[in-house]
Amino acid sequence: MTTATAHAPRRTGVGILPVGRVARAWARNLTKEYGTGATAVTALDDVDVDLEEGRLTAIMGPSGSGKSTLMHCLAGLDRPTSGTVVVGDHDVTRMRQRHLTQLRRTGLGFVFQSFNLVPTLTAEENITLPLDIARERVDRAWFDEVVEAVGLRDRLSHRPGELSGGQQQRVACARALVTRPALVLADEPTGNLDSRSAGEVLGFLRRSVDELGQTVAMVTHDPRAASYAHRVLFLADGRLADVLENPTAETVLERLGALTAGTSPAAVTA
Amino acid sequence: MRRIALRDIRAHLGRTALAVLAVALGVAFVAGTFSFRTLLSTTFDAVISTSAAGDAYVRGAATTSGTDVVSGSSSTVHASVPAALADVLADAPGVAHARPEPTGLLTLFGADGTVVTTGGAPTIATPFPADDTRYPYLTGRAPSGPAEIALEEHTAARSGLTTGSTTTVVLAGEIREVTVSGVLSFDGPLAGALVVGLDPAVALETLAPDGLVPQIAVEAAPGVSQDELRDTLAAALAATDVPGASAAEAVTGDTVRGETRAQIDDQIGFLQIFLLGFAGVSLAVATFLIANAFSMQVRQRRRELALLRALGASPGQVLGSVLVQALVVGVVGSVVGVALGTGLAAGIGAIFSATGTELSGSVVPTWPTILLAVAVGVVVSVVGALLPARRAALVAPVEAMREDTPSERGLRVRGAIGAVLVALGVAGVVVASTVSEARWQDLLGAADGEAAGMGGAVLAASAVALVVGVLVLAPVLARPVVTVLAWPSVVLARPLGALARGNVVRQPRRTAATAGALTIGMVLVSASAVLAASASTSMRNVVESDLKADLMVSGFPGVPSGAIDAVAALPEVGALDPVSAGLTSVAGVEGAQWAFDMPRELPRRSIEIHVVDGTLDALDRGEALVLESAATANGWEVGDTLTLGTAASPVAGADGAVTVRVGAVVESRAFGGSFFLPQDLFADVTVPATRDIAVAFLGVAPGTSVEQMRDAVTPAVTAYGAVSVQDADDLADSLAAQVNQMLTIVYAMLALSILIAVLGIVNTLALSVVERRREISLLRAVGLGRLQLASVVGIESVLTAVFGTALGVAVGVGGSSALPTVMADMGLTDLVVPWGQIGVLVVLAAVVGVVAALWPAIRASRVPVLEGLASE
Ligand SMILES: Nc1ncnc2c1ncn2[C@@H]1O[C@H](COP(=O)(O)OP(=O)(O)OP(=O)(O)O)[C@@H](O)[C@H]1O
Ligand SMILES: [Mg+2]
Repeated sequence: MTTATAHAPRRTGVGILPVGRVARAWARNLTKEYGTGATAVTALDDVDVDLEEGRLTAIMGPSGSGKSTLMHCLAGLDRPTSGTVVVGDHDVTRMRQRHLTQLRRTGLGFVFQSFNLVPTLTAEENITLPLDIARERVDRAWFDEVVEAVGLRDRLSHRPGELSGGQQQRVACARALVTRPALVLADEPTGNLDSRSAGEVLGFLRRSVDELGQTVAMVTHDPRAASYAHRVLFLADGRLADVLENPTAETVLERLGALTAGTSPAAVTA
Repeated sequence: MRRIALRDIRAHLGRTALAVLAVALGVAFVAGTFSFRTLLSTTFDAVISTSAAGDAYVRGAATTSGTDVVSGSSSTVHASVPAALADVLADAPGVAHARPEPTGLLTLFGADGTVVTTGGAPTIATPFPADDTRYPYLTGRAPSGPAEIALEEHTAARSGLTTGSTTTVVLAGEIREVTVSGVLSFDGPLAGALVVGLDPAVALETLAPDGLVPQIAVEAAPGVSQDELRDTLAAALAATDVPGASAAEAVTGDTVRGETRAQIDDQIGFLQIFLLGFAGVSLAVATFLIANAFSMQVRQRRRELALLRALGASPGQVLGSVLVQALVVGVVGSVVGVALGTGLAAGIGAIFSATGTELSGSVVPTWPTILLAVAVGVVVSVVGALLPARRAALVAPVEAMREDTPSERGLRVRGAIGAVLVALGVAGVVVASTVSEARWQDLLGAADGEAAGMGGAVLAASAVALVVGVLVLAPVLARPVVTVLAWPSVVLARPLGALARGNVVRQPRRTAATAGALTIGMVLVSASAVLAASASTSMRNVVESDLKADLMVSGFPGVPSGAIDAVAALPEVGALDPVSAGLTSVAGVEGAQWAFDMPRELPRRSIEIHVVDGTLDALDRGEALVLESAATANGWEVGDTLTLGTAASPVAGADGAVTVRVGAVVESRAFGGSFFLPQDLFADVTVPATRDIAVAFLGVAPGTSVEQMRDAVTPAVTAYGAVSVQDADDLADSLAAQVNQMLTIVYAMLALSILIAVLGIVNTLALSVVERRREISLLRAVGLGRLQLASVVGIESVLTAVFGTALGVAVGVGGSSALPTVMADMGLTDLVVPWGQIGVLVVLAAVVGVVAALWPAIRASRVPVLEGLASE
């Protein structure tokens, strides 16, 4: 298994945590380009980010700013053009496919914006799917705790088709957490949901951080959703533009406004 | 719209290619069948003109339907004429030569001392007159006297004999040492037949001991037409007072060749019906596949089609666009299919040639064949696409906005129809298996023999109902059956088995349609397997229970009388019962009947003859023993009198006709014929040319073991060539081997429909992989490895294949359980289900599943983790 040397992050930047705060996952000099030549798109441009342990981090930015790309690179679902991604003590960028697959099973939880569940499996089977795939035993007590936390106890035998959108997203969250991964990544987990369902999901993610000690990063467009987080990272044009600690809906809106007003991202500092 | 249709074909080349391949295979079978027929008939045209080259023929005017001595097939046989008529005919004006053509079979030993044979074809003995200049001798000269033979060129090559070689032949039951006087060439093919030429006088003496020959071939003098020749011959026949002249007729050579042609066409036609049956199966399967392919394509394109509808395309236009695709697939598939079919026919021809039956004709398909095959392919494609196309046309424009694929529509109506059909089928099978022929007679109030086919008809109808019913019902059965079948994989391969099961039962219609192809093939295979196993066991049982003799000597075409004499002379042989068989005709009954001459001791020491009515003593009183099947078919009972004779319809009191009383009705499954006759009577009423010793039963002399007797008998008869010595076990084995050989052909044919079924599974899996891209990506994102993903696809495929096979086997075995009742009078008494073989079928289905899954599984494992998720 490829492991990263536990050296301290080299560079300082807006996304990098101050000394004394521990990153569960981090990326340095992360660059992702799609295509080549004239049609090349730089989705991520030399990004440095830390995701703090035991915290909920939100990632925001205009459409096309590279949020999903960042998540995919962090999860090892996509290979960056250059740069390093470390999750826990694994260098994701240098791992082989097989080890990545293993990491995905139990080291990482991913919640997609939509289509998170296998339609032929029940809610319970969907939740335990990564464990089943890894042929690991389900820790019943933890499973119950997670299920209790998402409030799905009476929905376990239902198939995705019989669940509401919010319930489906909560099942997906439970699946992401059931393996006690080092990191949970959620790409717009509430994008399709009404505010009440969104509240359910976000509340759960926050509780999983506060009560279960998870590390979670999520992408969102909604300032109210971002206000559930401990820390917000703002992306613009593939660069990390800004960071906000202990956000509220108001402060998030403000920063977004500043970003879209055309202020040079480099001028904005935390 | 047409542009969209064609683009779609291009965009989905892989899938289109599968549909094309399915049509091509179905069409290949049709085209191949007809091409093969062309090959056979062009070959036989040539053979006929080689072997019946006379300008006119004189033969008996009376006809009987009998077994052709040479071909062994049932056909119209003309009565024989006295060979002596040839002399009269030779003197008629315009006649160059008139030659009697006595024809028979002989056994020829080759240079290596073994019997010369090709693919079971007999060796034909025929006169080679010295003054016949039509065929040149390559070496040597015509045979002269009883110690010489001449060989046709291929026969010489095959036997390794050349001019001057000495060898042995068995002719008219006697071994003769002969010298090859020459090798002659017919300038035409003989389809592998072996021909040995005899001195005409020797031929007459040995092959026509009663002076009667099947025909006299006449060659015209230069400038005399066939018609003129025939008229002169007719006049000569009318003028002469040689006995038999009045019963003879003159016909042109073309007439004879035409008749032979028609008879051969009949036989080929039968073969063709058989082949077309398989073509039908593969086409049905292909239709299935095409319908399947198109309905999935339509389902996938639903959004696109809905968008088109929203943009103002009419349902008709959408329908048209799907049908245009079907048309393209049909035409391309058919063209490929015709080419494949021609290849197929050539391949079969090559196999025939390799086994000695030289098929020299052409396989190039005729235009009607090409048109028919293309028409079939196009119709099948369009019919297959029609339903899905209709569904496509009716896609509501709002569907474009809707997110998920529609759930399968209710299966209630379909389930009900299927259930009714299956119930009818099962009821029919039960009726067929419980109601005996006699009961049918009572039930229908029918006369004797009229209810004969009733059980079979009921069974056939119920089998069709069962197959159709199960195919209709299959989607309803898919969930429960697959759930059971999937159980081991669900338990053993968590969570892969459960994922695979979920995918298979998710769309029961699709699963059923995919498996249906395999179901059809497996119904036929398993029913054939049951039939074959039951037949073998039944025969074995008969042999074991009825055969009392220690050994049996049999031969083809018969056991030479010399061999019998040789066996009789052995001290080890205590009892010898040779049974002769010959054809006779019965007044008032259509067709010739096989009669046996029964040695008095036969029932006591050689073989069990079961008495149904009367006593065996009747034979001593000069009466006939009628076999039960013939008695039932013709309504004969003890006390009836029958008029037998060699003529087609013997008249009581006329010359050569004998009236005999039915003394007993007996049953013996060892003899397939109509009656046993007292020895003298047998000689009087059977046609000499058809008479042969069919079999001889041997018992050991006191103090001798069976092995000792066998060791003595075997060398004594091998001198006569194709004669076999068997005990009960050998006999049962050789009978079973014959049945299994038949079965092999059936299996080979069905392999093709299974191939098409595999294509169907590949098609379905590939499409569902495409449909499930997002799901696959998701699974990969939560950690499913490539190999695991491939296993899911594999398990899915195996489940589908085994599901189809399970249905097919259930129907096949269930339906054939009625066979013993229905086929009781054909000697099928025991129902044996070869579970071992059927287990192999199921395993085979699983292998088929794995093979079919390869490509789709590779495709699935290549779906990039991100792409499937991003594509939404
Ligand atoms: N597979 C791809 N091929 C080419 N370009 C891509 C690909 N995926 C993303 N991009 C480009 O990369 C940039 C970042 O995309 P990304 O999906 O990360 O944006 P995002 O911030 O998630 O946007 P949104 O909020 O709309 O989801 C965009 O300009 C996009 O067009
Ligand atoms: Mg995105």
